[in-house]
Amino acid sequence: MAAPESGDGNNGAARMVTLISSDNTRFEVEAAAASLSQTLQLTILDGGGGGGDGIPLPNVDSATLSKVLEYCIKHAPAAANGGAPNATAVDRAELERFDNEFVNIDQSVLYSLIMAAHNLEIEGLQSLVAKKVADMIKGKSPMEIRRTLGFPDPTPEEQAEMNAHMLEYGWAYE
Amino acid sequence: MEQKKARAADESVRLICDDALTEVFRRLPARTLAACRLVCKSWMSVLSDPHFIHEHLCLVQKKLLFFANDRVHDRSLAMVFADDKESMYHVSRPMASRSIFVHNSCNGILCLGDSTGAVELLNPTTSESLVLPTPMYTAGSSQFSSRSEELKMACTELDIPFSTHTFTESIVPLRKDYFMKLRIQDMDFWHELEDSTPVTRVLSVNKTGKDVDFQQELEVN
Repeated sequence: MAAPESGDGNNGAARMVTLISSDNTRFEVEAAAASLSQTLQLTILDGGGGGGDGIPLPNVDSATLSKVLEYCIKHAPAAANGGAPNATAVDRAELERFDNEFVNIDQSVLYSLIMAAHNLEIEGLQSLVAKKVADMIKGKSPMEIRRTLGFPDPTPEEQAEMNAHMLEYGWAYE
Repeated sequence: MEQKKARAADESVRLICDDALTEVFRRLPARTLAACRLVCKSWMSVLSDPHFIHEHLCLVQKKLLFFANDRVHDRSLAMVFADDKESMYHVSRPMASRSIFVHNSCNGILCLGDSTGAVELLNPTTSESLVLPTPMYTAGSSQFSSRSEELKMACTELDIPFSTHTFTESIVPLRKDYFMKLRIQDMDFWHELEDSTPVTRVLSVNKTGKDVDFQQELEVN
């Protein structure tokens, strides 16, 4: 890939960009890490986000953004290598361990992460969080899913609809 | 306090947009999706979207259906070996009539018939069923049209009164061990059925045409 003229030469310091969260916190991060986001990649390739400008992210709050960047920074080197050839088994195991730890978080944070990963189009993070939520609900009944994901108790109407369905198809969930 | 926390979490789970939800649903086996449909209305609407259903169907092509009448327990069994090599689930429901058999199947939907000539479509994954309007049919064949994404049924109607018509399917005399093992072609494994599952008539078909013919298995035995 051709480096932009402003030069993030291999010897010098890596090019940095600034991201601004919805609550106006500024995050300075390597361009390579931020570029894991497809959404940001174009802006960064165009030379945006450097200097005092910063890229505003009105949909992402600072707590979520710092979590997102933690993921990006960890995964940037592997992504730069294109994954396979240089990655040793140890590296991959380390990333896997990191990923497992990473999604071991409070549910509200997890949901914010899903939306952030989606808005920023960070493919690896999208599938990581989607897989986490999928694992949480796999094989569960409707009520168990509601409880697991923190839905409030169903309203009487919802409960009545569910009961009607279970009456008809209940044997399917035995 | 606890209540408040639950409410906050609820709001955030509802904030997840449909596209992101789809990412989660893509990773789940069809059986869990059937349960997910009942979680809330917006989930139901995402999961009822024909595009999503079509996409999910394409992801999990390796689907094999199996249907049997279990006289001893007076129930019908419909099984799906699906989604990947490990998952298998089955539906067991009270037997509606003495002899239910499979006319045909496609795309994971079984087309069932019984001795009264009634025809029913059964989706063993979601357990939804649709009884087609009588009068009776001799044979049904179903085909999935990928262009219109519709399941089409063709049936032959009988002119003669039912009483003069006899169905020729013979009930296969049973030995328990006939049905202890089910070999799935191209998947290279044997699946052990519960040993208390003597069945009277079995037919299975799957979408990609890799049929397992139980009659043949029986003849070999």
